[in-house]
Amino acid sequence: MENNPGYYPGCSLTGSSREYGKSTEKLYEALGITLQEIEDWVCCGATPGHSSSHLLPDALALKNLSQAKKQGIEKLITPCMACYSRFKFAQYNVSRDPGIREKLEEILGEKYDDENEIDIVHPLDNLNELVILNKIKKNIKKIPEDLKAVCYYGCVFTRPPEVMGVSDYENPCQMERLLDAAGIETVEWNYKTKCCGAALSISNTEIALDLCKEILSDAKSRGADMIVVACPLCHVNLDLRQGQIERKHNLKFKIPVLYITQVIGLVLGLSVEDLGIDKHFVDASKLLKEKRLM
Amino acid sequence: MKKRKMTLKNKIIEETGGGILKCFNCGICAGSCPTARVSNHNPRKIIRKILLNREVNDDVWLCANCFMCSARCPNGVDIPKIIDYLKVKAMQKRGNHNVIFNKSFLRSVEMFGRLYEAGFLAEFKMRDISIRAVKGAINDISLVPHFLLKGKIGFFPHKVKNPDEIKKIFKKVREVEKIKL
Repeated sequence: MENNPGYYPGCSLTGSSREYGKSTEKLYEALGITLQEIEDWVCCGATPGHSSSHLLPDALALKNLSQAKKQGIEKLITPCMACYSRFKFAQYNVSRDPGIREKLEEILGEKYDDENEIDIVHPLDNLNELVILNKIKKNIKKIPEDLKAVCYYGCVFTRPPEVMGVSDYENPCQMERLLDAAGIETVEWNYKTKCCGAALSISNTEIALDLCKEILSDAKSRGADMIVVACPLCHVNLDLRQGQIERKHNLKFKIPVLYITQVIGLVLGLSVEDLGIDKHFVDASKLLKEKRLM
Repeated sequence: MKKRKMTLKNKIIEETGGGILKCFNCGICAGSCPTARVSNHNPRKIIRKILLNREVNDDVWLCANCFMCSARCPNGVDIPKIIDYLKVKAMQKRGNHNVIFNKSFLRSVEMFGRLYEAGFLAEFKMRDISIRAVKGAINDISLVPHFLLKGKIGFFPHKVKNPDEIKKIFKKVREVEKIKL
């Protein structure tokens, strides 16, 4: 039998995006899957890590993976896109570049263990595994009425394609498949994998506001009731900054942005509080009541 | 044998592989770049300037690391890797708010092993005192009550059990990579 999957929440999911962490944990609990958190995990370094050093981000990722191996973890669920990307990058670099591997081994003071390579998995792929997808379908408690969503994947879930192991980097469909199983209509649109500005939101806010304006405008013009995301930074930029974007561009969106784990949790009958939907800036309760999800 | 002159171009070829030489200046990178649409950022020009041994005075910090340029590049030039090389180089000098942003973030990670969001944001906003930053900070203050009311930000840092291990990793990276961090 397979071990319990490992779980790496990362800093965002225990801080400003705690509702993503909470909803992921509650969803897996509802699906009867016990997540095994990496003990004493450390930050992946995110964008500042790889902008400041070529070795630091890989060193931090391998430190976490080495701890995961000690716990016997074979598959690691990583909901935060930044962490997910950094782990994939570290494995990619260390398995292809002997020079980097040697330096990383010196930094960490241990040999890298090729034999038990951990499978880094994002919930979007994990929830799409047939057994889990069937479990979701079987346990649906609430069927939404005429709810339209656009799926926003952002950048690093599919890019760089060679690192993330993806071929169709501009048209992933994992969220569409999940929402389809949940009885939610998905609408085709242009901004599925376009960038929201990511960390520029803090250091060069205006740029993120302009990029998100395009994303929100397209979602609105396609008639979407909500945007579904799977990345804490995308959520911050589209939800928390939505008011600022409206003021800057003199537009009105008021479009709720929900994490995929929250949406699937809702149809499985989990409560709004358990899923942290009450923590968003743009209030989703009116929409969810109207569509009978609440 | 004559030693190759260490221009930026040669340095980048040495550090990131020779992929940059395959650029034929088609501009798909710039056409695909999200921030190029809303700022004067232009990856094609940056690559061109490097290849022509011109001075690169572009603001590389406008790159959002979305990896669209390299994904679409017909010649497979790893543009984000080259931009990262320029960013790491810029981090070695005293710099603008982007340098402060990265330093404040990593200081928190080095100290606690995890990001202490409240501490990092406070430090970054206090040290970045340009007019642009002050305007931004005033704008962002309106978000603070939301964070507090919804309990979205922790007041105290989460510290790992063994912070010394992380400090050691940072120290070793500085030694091995010979960089300021």
